[in-house]
Amino acid sequence: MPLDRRAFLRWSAAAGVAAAWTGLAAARPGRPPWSPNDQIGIGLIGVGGMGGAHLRTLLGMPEEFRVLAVADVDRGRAERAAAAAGGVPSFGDYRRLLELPELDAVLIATPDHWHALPAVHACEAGLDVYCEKPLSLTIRQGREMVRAARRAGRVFQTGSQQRSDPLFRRAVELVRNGAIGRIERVQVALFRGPSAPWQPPEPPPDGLDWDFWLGPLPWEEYRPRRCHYDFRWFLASSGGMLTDWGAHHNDIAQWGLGREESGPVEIEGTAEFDPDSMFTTPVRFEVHYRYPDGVELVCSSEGRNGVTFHGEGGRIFVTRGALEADPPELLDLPVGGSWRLPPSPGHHRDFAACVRSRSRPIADVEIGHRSATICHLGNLAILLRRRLFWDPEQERFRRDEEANRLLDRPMRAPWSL
Amino acid sequence: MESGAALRILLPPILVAAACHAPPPPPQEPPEEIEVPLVPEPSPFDLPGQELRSWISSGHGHIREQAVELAWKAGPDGVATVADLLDDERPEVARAAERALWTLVHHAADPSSPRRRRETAAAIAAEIHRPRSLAAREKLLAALAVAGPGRSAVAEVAAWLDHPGLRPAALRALERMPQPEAGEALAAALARATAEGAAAETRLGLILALGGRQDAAGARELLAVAGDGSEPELARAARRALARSGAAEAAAAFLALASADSPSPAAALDSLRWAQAAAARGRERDARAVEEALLHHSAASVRAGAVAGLAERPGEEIPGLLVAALDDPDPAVRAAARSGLAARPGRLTDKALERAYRDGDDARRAEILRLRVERDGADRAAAADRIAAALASWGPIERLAALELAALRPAEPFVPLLERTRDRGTPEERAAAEKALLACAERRAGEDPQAARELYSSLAEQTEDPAVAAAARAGAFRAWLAAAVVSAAEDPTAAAAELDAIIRAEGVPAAVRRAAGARLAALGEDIGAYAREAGFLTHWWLGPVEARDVRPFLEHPFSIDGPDPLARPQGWRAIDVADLDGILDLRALCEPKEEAAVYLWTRFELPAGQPVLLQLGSDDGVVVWLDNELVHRNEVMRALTPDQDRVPLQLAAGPHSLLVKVTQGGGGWEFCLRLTDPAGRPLALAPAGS
Repeated sequence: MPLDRRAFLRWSAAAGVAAAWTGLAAARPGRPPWSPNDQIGIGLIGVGGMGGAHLRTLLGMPEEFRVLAVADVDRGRAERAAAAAGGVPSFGDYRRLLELPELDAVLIATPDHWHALPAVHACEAGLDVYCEKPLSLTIRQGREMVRAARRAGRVFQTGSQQRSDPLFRRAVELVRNGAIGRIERVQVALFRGPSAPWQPPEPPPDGLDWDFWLGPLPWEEYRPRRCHYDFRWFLASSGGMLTDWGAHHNDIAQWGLGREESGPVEIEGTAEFDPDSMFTTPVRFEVHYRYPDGVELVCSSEGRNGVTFHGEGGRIFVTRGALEADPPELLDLPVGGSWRLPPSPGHHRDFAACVRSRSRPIADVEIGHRSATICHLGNLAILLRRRLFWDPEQERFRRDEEANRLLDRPMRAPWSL
Repeated sequence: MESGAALRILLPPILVAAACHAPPPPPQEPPEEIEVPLVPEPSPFDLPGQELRSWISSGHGHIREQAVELAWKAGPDGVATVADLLDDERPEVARAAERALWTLVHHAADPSSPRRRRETAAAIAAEIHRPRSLAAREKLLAALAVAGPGRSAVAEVAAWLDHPGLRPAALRALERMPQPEAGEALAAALARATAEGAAAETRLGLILALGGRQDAAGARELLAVAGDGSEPELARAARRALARSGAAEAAAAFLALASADSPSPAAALDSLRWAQAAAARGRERDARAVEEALLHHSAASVRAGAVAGLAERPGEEIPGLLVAALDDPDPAVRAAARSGLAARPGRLTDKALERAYRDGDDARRAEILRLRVERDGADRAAAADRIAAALASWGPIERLAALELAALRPAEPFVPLLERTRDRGTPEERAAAEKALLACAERRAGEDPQAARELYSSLAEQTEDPAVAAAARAGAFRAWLAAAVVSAAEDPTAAAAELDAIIRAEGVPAAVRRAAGARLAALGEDIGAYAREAGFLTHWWLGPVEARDVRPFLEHPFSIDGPDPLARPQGWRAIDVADLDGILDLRALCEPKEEAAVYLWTRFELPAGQPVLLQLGSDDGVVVWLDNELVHRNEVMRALTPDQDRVPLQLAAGPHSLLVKVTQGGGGWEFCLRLTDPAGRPLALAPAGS
């Protein structure tokens, strides 16, 4: 039914209104080309544990960033962060921050269920985005974030900082250049998920906007360990250890396999839960992924934390602070091959450089989405208790309607992507 | 992960019986250990609901956990049981019931069991009608959204749209259910709510649910709301929902919006979103029309989105449009054009880029060069040809781009060109050429390490940049090592000589030296000889290992009274250190490997009395007795560096004994010790003897 002209005019008039429910700032006009000396005006959305650490990092890079505002649904945190940043404005509602005209970018360090909405809204407001990992709460949300970034031509860095760590980069260069020959298997070892005793509901503390904290999640009562930091141990708002650390190490595994913009085709997983814990994510787990070329990736809560590439000519193990090889001299011989990573200036500086040059950062949104996807696939295989067949091109399961219904979770109104 | 794999668990007898498909007896304690299949084999539903109830209600977590695992055996009849327990006042029981409900749902919804799925969905739908808490009914609705097949399940859910308390859950369920009838139900409810003037919040929920489905359902109703200017927020939400749908019915509206004089950026972005969704549904032509209309929008982010969208559309004119966008004043738009051109396959794009390259100035040619190399992708030969040609370009910007590309995609043919640039280029070009030469040498080392060594050495000699010189020297050593490793298969004697030369070479990086030592040891050579030359003691007796007690390490040091190995030789074993620096890897030799300490003992003989410097390294702490007298103690947690502790001593001629205790917290566990004169020169020692 095409709109008639009168209806079209009404529609256009409505289009200019910043809706309270959908809350989008207007896209800003183009800016002059960046010069290397320009500071990037940045706002932080979420200034708790990770956000606070990012704030300190950004404040230590005055040649790159200028922190202009912060937003957090916990008023105390927002005010402390604003003071630490030199008295910048603080907001409870991130949408007000997005309206600041002098912003160039935002850094999102909210809980997982609050990544997609501010990221998409920031892109639509014409801002570049640095967003913490795991990038998404659901596979569909991740795809929406990629589309939003592309649709608005934004630079989008995922907070997978291991990609800027020299040890991980060296390991991936070795693997990609054939130092251990054809890769047969990749072993990813994470930590076990934690447990916690049950807590009764209680009124939220002063200054915490609990309803806003829940945002798109189904409403539930406040409990202290349901909120800050521990949100990651509840399947409603995160994916447990499998997404928390898996987003890092599975990312490296797929990078080494050259599958960072694709994914596995078969997934099978098992897990153990703690029936006496208020946390809902697995304590122990093991997920097997198979790629089209037959390579298997095993992601487990057991073993030494890190990524081990098993090739026909040896083994390379990498974790934070350690890179090991078998045979050991692999690390001292020339890399060979011609697959090279340019030197990394560090994860935040890589983002800053890409904002200026308008190029894709080392953990571009598509990569962040795919790295989160592999973790979500593992959790779905665990929950569904059957082998899943995944089409990484279409991002749908083959012959499994029920699994496809779990690719996304409807949001609580009025939130919508 | 095989279906037959078994999980050893503690299981009460009732669940033993369940696993064996026998009538389960009442719960008993304590549990006993048995084997249970990880994935139960299909079997008749033989788990009575009453038994399932008693297990889920158990005060024992492991019983509840097994109940969750085995709930599927109750079949559709189990739904009523778990539904009742969703309201249990004990949170752990309610949680177990919810998980058991999902066990039933996921098992029933397995693609191989359509009948069970229908029956389970019907049972869930029936339970929603029974009196229970809103929270429990919301959980049941969520389960129905995943399990419910066909129209009947949609009708069951849609009936709850009129229930004020359950409306949000029903909306979420209908948003998730893929059946077309779910969208139709939402559309009908929106039409009804609009006609009846329902609260804005009610209509907004329906609009958002329709948008979340991302299909064409409700397009007419959404268009009507979008065109109603009296409630702009609802209109905006409806427009966004339509944009997500890519519905064909909205094509004309979005094209009109995009073609208007100055659509707001938000409206323009919604139009782009619609184009993206429409293209995914095969309406490429409509999508392209909208995107072309927005190519000249005032907002850069809109133009960038239009360019990114067009890059994915078919059409002969698209490459030309993308090339034109390279001239956009905004860097985001140009970046979108570059990305689109780099990723777009086909000869038309090749030709457009060829034209742009031919007609462009130096900067444009450099930009196109980068794009074309990116388009070459895995075709490394084509990329190498292109870079090699550009290295001789007339334009300095293009030459510099080619030098940067040569460093990222090194290839052998670049080497003479890069050497020429290094010799004749500007300072900036020289620096870039040297980086590229380093990359070429690294690549060459994978195929011909000897030739790589020559290139590295040449670079180290000729560069004026100290950082490049250091990198080239290190590279030369690595290539030398690689050459020796390669030759070892054919001529081990010659390889051993080369490895010996590497170890003794001046300026060899420590890592390369140690790698050469490891390879030499693999050839059967005694690399401890290098350590002895440097004065390290390489023959030790390894004594007993003490496990640390529970008190903190530094508050409670290990006993310093070590055993006398001569008096009690049992339990001691001789160790010859096979390491260039005389380092003993205690972690590999001892158990336990953490929170422990070990004793080492050896003897040596001095031909004459003299001042001696005892130099040692340890990971972690260390205590040393010389001739049964304590001479050194360092309670520390650290990594080993040779010679990190120095102890001056005056020793008499003749035999001496050394007893050492090395403590271990965690991680590495190592030790090394050597004797030198006060100036650091190795002493001439007699062997330790037995």
